[in-house]
Amino acid sequence: MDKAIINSRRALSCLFSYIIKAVKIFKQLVIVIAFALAGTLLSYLLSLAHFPFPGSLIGMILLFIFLLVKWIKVDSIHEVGQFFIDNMGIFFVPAAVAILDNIALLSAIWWKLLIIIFAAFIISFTATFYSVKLTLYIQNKVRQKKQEEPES
Amino acid sequence: MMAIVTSPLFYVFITVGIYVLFAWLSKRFKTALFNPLLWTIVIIVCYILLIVFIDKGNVEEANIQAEVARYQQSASILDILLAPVTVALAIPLYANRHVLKENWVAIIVATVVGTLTSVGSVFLLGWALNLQQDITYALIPRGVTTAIAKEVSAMLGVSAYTSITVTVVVLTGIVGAVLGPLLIKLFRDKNDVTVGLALGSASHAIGTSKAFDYSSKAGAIASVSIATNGLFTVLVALIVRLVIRA
Repeated sequence: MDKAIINSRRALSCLFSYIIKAVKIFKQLVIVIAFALAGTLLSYLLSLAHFPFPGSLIGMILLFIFLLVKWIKVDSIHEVGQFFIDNMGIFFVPAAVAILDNIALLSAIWWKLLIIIFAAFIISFTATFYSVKLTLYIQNKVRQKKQEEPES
Repeated sequence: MMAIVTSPLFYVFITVGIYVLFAWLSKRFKTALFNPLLWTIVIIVCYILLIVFIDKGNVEEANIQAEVARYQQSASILDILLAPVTVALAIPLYANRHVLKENWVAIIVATVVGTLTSVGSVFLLGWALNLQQDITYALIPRGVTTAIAKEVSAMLGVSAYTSITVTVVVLTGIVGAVLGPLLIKLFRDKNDVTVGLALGSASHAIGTSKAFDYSSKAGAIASVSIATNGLFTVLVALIVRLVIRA
């Protein structure tokens, strides 16, 4: 009898912890959506001033600033945010499947797109690689000079 | 049986199901070739073509468009979350803020050079290959993460070709994850900062997952460059937009 009560209590507290966890996820979702909406509003205001800037990016910058000045703790968005980051790809499937609407066009130009994909990657990868290498080299030289100066 | 297939939930079910399957495969075999987004797109596209063919006996454009519209209505549950997903990009940026602080000079150089060579080469190649102007504009954000690329193509007034933008961005990531390490071998330099920035700014998130193979510092710096590159590309797109209008 006692055992049955203890067991049922245990089951109940287990259920409660699940509910609390679920509420926590919804709370995090509300925060992230609030930033997206704030971004949408600011984007609309900017577009009135003929300065189109994507709302979701404004939301991202806002969230970054709020995190930096600690108005929001990472913990209060961590689970939902990490879930979005880890599974980002799936949210783009609907946008990409619309490619079927352009299938006639695509059958004519697919080889051009492939050339651009490969060539543009090689060009920008190589340019970035060597410009960073050069930057680090120059920074090193400057640092060495600074270290030598006080001695001489 | 038909009741299952015609339910709006069915499209959500197969989309998530295929994605989960390929996410598992790519983790199991550690290769970018099993990229879950790419394979989900390919399989859903084939499925739609097949179902239209079975249902209507032909693959006429109007029938395909009707089925695509039905798919997008079902899967709008995913599409609607795109803005919050983009907002979440602030989290890796914040988590790696010390990397940003320590290497800001190299990050700015990589962002400016990477973006300008990317946009420049698209314009040059588009012109050389005699590509339609709207398609060239749709390819401008080829190297930035999908969330931002989609916004850039809308900014440039080519939302009709957003699907081409998204597909090219995904393929760029996969090409980057395969070709990037080969180029790094060829250039004989495995500096964390150089490798991370080159992979991150030329092939966004998929390249970044490869950067983590070199070191966690390379991965961190690559994830920072996803955000900086995306933001700078938006600024470049603003200028391109002004030039188009003028």
